[in-house]
Amino acid sequence: MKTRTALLSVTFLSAALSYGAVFSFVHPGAHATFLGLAVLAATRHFVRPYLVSRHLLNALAVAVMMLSLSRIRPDLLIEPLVDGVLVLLGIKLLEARLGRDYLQIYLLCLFLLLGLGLLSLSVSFLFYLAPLAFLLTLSLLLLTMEGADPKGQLPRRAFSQLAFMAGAMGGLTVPVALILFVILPRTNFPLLNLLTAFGKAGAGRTGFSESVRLGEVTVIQEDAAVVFRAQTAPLREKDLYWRGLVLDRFDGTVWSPSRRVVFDPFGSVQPSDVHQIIFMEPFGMDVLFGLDRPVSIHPMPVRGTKNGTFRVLSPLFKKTRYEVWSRPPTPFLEEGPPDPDLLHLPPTLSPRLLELAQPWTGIASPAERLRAILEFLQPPRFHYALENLPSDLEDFLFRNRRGNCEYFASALAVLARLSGIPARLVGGYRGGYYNQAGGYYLVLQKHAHVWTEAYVEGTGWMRLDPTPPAAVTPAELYARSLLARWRVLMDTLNYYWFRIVVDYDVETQLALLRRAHALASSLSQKPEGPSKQTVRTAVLIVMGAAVLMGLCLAVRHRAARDPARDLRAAYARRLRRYGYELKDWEGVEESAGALQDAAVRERALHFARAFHEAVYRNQNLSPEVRRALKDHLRRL
Amino acid sequence: MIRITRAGWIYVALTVAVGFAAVNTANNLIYVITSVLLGFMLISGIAGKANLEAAQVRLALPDEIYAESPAPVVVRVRNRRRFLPVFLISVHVGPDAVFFPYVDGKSESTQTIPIRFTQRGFSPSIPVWVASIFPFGFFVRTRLVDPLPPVLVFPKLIPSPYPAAPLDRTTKGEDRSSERHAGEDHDLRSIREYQAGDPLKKIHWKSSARTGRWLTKEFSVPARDTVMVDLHPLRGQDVEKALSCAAFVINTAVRRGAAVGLRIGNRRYEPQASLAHKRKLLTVLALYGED
Repeated sequence: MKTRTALLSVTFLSAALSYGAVFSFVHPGAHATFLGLAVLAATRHFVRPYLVSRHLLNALAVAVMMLSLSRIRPDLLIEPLVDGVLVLLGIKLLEARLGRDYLQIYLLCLFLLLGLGLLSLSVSFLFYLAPLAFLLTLSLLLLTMEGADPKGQLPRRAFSQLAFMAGAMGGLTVPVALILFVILPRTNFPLLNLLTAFGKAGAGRTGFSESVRLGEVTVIQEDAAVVFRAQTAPLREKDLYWRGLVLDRFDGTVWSPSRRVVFDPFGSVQPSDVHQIIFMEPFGMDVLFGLDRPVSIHPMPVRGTKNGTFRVLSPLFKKTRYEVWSRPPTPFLEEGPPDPDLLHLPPTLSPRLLELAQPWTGIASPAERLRAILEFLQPPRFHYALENLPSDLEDFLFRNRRGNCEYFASALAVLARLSGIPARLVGGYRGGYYNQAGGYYLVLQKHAHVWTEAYVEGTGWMRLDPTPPAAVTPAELYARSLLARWRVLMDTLNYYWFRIVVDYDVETQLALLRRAHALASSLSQKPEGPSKQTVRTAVLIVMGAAVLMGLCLAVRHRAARDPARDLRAAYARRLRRYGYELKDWEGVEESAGALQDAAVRERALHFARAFHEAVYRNQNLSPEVRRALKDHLRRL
Repeated sequence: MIRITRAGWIYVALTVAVGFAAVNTANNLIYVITSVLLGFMLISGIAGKANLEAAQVRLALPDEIYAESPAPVVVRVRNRRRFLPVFLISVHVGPDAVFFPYVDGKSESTQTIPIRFTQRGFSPSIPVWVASIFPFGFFVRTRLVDPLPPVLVFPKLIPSPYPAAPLDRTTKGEDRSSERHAGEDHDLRSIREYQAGDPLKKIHWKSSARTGRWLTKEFSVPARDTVMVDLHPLRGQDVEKALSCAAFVINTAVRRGAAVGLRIGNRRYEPQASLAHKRKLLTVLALYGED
């Protein structure tokens, strides 16, 4: 068979497979055009060759691409491209002559499959990918053969051998790629990002810094980068507050933490505490995040404060793993009374705010007071917004009543302080995408959030989130996009990479060593005699295996027997019924002729002739022939 | 040894670019693509290496090699593997090459490569290597095999008048003069390797087909003539040409069944009519001036 014919066949098969993959997503016009081109191409390559102008085809290809690009709408992004690629595939099939034409066809096939992946957003495209990868490998092999020996011919056997090699190479690539995937070097700081960071004069990556300026969180929320992954059981949505830093000093526009450090980071852990393993991405922060409210952090050397925040001694510039125990139920109790500074407000504060807070000071119960302020800050009076934010707190409270989380939180904290309740801001993250496959929360910068904590005498610190609950936060907006869903799915790989490679530390090594040691010591002990039960089981297993092996051998032996010999033996058994003993040296036909009874002789000769025909002349004892011969014997 | 082809460079560049993108974006999907590209390169490299290693090359030189006339060197490629075939092997002997697209498992394929030696005497050893672009044409792998050993090249054959009978050649260079000897076709003495100039009708087709090599029938012819080649009178002429003419005369004489002797310098070789004797004389001519 000609190599070229095989190459074309495989190429057409690949095209057909890709077409089948996207079949249900294609525009009828593209269907018709592709099928027409494919028929023309098949005629040209397999039936009757004719000349086509490459220029004409190229012009057609450009026109098709222009058409499909012009059809692109924001809500119809991929379908026109798939249509265009499909028609291009038809054109290329018609054109296929040079090596690069074939390579382009394979690339187009891959594009179609990618299109399927994007259109269906399911893993189903992998089922197409495996056979396509096989076909592409085979066609690459054939292409090389054709290129090295144009118009060459190969025996038919060679093609099945090539197909086997293609399969083997494809099959072997998978484990090798897996190993490579695990060992490929990775950096914590992408090169190009570093370059752009230098370009921005050391702006670095966004994230929480030491202070929060009003409107700053919106900037953080623009970033879709992963901050940390928290391995834990699924939690209640309302508990998903990841505490980072406490901001208790307000100068009118900026909230910042006061430097009061208490060296008691390790509270006693209770069994009901939620345990999390946090895998932190390097952002150059010294803040350690944990589910609100963290009690203990392990095993980092940290400086803890009594307000439930933890910091490492130097900023983290590599991926870091740590464990956190948290106590989600509010209110929290802290050692000692709240600092009097938590009622402090800047002297520059507008008197209008004082006026605004005046009515609430009349409410006796602090809890009631807080509820009233919270109610005041809710829609329809105030709205959640991400753009056109107010210039300062006064603007937010009196004119432009649209803001994001830190406006709401600041307003609540300031109004609470004005009405005599100690209050502060907490910066961290709210929510996270739970990855079922990995069992962890994926928290992005999009989840950045600021909320308020207020101290109520006799109750403790209460977490108050004044941001309207119905607000569509950037994290939710992002979650609605297909990209995010895809990303959460694919992030599992990231997570396991982190778990397996980065998380492999001295402790894991020691655990492995201990296990090896235990195994060695158990082996070195003097073995006791096996129990009777064990012996019986072992004997049974051995006997079972022996019987099974014997059966296998018997079946093989049976299969290996000569069918002609079997038939002769059956024939001999039949003759014995008529009192005739078939001798070893006697031929089948000879013995049939020697039979006394004419009717029996006739039937025996009938068999003998058929037997001779099959065994000696045709040398064909196929199952059908054997069946026919056995029929003869039965009639004998 | 590996040489990267243009397609190979494109593949490598693609892999590097995708790898850079992977490191840069830390996106695992791109890491997966990089791993697959690298893994594919590795596996194809192993397949190509195994393919090349499985090819066992043997060369067979003809018994007599004359300068300037192409010597048919038989190249045998044997596949060591039992099941898998060997694909796209080219065997290079110096500047010449032959191509074997397919050799099935545990079998052998033979081709002839005409090699032209320019000078008489011992030719220098010629390097021999096998090369293959299998499997994807990204890399050309080469492996050196045993070189062609130094061979003795007899002087170029320049037709010159044969003393006994006029030279009779067909347009294709076949020596027809022996046809006139009556009865020669009857007594088959032996079958030997084909030599340049043997008449087509003396080729033993059956044996040639069976063995895959050209074989010539040799008949026993009673020696009738005795030819003595004396290189002395030729002194003053071009020595190379003289040697060539002498070689031609010796060759022709033995083919015709004549006994041939040689006098060269102060050495003298008595006339005999055997093939071994012919080769001995030709060797003397080949090495003239070099010993």
